[in-house]
Amino acid sequence: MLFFSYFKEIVGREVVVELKNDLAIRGTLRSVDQYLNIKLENTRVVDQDKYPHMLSVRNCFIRGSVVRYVQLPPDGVDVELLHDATRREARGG
Amino acid sequence: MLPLSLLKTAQGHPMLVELKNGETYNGHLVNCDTWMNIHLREVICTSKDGDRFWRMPECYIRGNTIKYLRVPDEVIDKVQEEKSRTDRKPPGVGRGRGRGREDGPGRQLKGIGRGMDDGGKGAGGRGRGGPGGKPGGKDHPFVLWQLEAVVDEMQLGFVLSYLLRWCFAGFDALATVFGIKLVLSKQGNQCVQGGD
Amino acid sequence: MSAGPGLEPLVDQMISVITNDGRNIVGILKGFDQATNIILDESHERVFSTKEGVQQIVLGLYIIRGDNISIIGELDEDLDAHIELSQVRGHPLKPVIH
Repeated sequence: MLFFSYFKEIVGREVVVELKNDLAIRGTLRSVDQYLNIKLENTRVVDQDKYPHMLSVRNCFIRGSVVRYVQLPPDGVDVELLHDATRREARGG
Repeated sequence: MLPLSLLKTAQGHPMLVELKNGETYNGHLVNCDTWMNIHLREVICTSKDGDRFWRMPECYIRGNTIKYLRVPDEVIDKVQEEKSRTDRKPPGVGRGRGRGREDGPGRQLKGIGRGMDDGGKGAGGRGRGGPGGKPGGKDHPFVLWQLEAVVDEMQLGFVLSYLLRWCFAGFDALATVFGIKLVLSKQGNQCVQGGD
Repeated sequence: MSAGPGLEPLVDQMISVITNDGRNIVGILKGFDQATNIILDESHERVFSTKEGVQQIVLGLYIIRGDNISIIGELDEDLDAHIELSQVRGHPLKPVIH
């Protein structure tokens, strides 16, 4: 739930989603759901010359189960807030 | 359109199923369920590399091992036909059985249709649904059904005293009293269930 | 909280699907469910290689299981029309390893 909430916080920010097939996609986070499925806008594959598979795709849905990493905007992490939320979640609240 | 509806519609049609391990199965779909488990007949299985084949009269495939299914193009038109056929039916008729998941418009009428189906089967209060269905009240068939149960369980004198009171009070008022009495005394649980 | 993957806006549109085994399948989204199982109509596979241009293989009507799907992309048909696929070279995608 914490990550779901966190990703909702950063909707509208630019992220890079790295998949478990080594593909990395840069785009604007449009939405996230409870499975951490992600929708991106204005997408661009990071290594587009090597992987031109999504040249004509600008909006995409990424299944949460295939995500390896999400690179966050550096200023998109409020560490204090995240600490608090983590403690609250650990307490079961 | 739901993928599993399409699959259901493909019953009797030939199809190709590729499993996650790369094997493919060609056969006619006999049946499938909501987990995508499928039953094929007259099957040819092909190994991942495509150079070995096995024939088998039938096989069952567990849904979660499937990668994809290729179904004949015309099947998608049949789903649409079936959909429009059900759409043409008057709402609430013949919908008693299904869970009514995908039928969108007319769904709110389903409860009414079901209630009428169940009516007169003794446990009249059941299935009528709706939060308003309290025990007793003006629901006479329901109260009478409760009465029968009471006669079985209570002593005769007890029943007689109730009958005596019947002479003095109006039926409606007493029916209400009965309803409440029952909940409080003997068969609280049943009443709560029945009245829902 | 929305229940499904929220692909309604893509229904009846051309989409490009990347599956866990690294295939790229293009077709018209006809339906989907909670598990991201999808129906793809008039679908074809695009096979990328470093040696030659993209090959297209006609597949037809497909049901793809959700747990075999990595990405569902909305295919911008204008952008797609401007790509000469026979000139495009690319590495095959790796399969997803969980």
